Amino acid sequence: MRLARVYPIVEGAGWISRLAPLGVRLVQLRVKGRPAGEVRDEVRAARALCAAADVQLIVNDYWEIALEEGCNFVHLGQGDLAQADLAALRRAGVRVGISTHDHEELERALRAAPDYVALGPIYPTLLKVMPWQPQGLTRIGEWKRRIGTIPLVAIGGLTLERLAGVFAAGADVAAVVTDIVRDRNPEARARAWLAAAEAA
Amino acid sequence: MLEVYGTQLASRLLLGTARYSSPAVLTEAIRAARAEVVTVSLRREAAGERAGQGFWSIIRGLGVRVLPNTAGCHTVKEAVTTAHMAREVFDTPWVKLEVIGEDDTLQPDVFGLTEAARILCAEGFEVFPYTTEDLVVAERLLAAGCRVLMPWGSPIGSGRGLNNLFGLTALRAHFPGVPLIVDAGIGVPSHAAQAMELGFDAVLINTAVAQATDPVAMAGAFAQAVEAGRAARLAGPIEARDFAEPSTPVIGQAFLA
Repeated sequence: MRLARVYPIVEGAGWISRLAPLGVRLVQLRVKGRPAGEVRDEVRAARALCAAADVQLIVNDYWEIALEEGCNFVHLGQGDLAQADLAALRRAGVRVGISTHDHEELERALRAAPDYVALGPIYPTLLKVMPWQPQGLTRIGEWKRRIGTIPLVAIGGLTLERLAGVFAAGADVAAVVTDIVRDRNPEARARAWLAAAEAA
Repeated sequence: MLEVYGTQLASRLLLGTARYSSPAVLTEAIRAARAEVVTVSLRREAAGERAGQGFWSIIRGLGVRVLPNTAGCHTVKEAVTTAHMAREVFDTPWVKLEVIGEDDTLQPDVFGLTEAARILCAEGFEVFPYTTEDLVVAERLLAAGCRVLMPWGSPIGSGRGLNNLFGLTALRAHFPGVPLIVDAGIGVPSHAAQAMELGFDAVLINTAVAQATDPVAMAGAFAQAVEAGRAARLAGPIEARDFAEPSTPVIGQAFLA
């Protein structure tokens, strides 16, 4: 399977209804700090929206809810990776992407035979307080050489202006958060991202 | 009763759900308006301020029929994809189709609108197109498969009322059997009453209620206006004249010298 070259990470299904009509083909739902019932509501809505708009949905963290709601792609952080029932996910045909920040995490991720590996933060990020320094572009090339044909997702602090450099360094896919959803005109910004991915 | 796509509606006031200060005010306004149908903007409301408050369950909990709209769509493709998503999420074939052509007036792109209507009707959607009062466009929309039309009164949110009385009257006269719902631009209850007096089948109100100082009271006022206007239409209003006519006729009265 080929992943779309760019995808937005959104905190609620509502953003999917806004961005999917523009031509977004892949989206990650990352719900944070909400009661379990609302998380399920968002996952269910996101799944329905993505199915209707022919968008691939990746559910962050909540792998059990994703499994129960019939989603087919989850994203796991290293903490989630330790807890998740990978065998159950595989049996259900659920694909798995995994976050990595250093070599040790990368090796742990590779042992799980991931459907993609995410590396971050490439640049300083507005969203998370992280113990890791920005990885920088050279790290992207290093990761790509190590993982071979597994798709490499670059994440963290990406902007439209930084996109070309990230692809040139070897990333297959770029994940974007604030550069779209916090833009004054998210629709226009999303269109620009999609056009840039098309041209890449 | 008003019949749209085989559904009987007792209420001729449809309410939009955007721009309310809280879900509680929205719920009360719907009750005061005695509305049976509410429009929901999938793209705007789902991703707006209410996104964190369980938007999906709020809408489901309203207990009224949902007419999803494609607000914010500027192309046929966007509108069609949005309609697909709305059908999936709200489990309804109804869609209020908006394809916006111009950002200052938010007026419909009638070319894109007819194209999107044709696609969606062919896919089994029951389309409520947001259109102008243009007769030719109305014909095209009906030919595309629409069985209801939603002409504007004036630009969305402007509160200017019925800008083109001549055009709206002509539209009503041309399509006597088609449910016509005035959508957009109504500012005060007298505008709604006027639309009903002209013979329109229903009105859709959003901003005029949601942004009123007291939205719930305003929703009630609109409900009364719509009922009054409808009753007046059925009662047969007199024609306007250029000259006075004494309401107490002289002819036939006894001449007392």
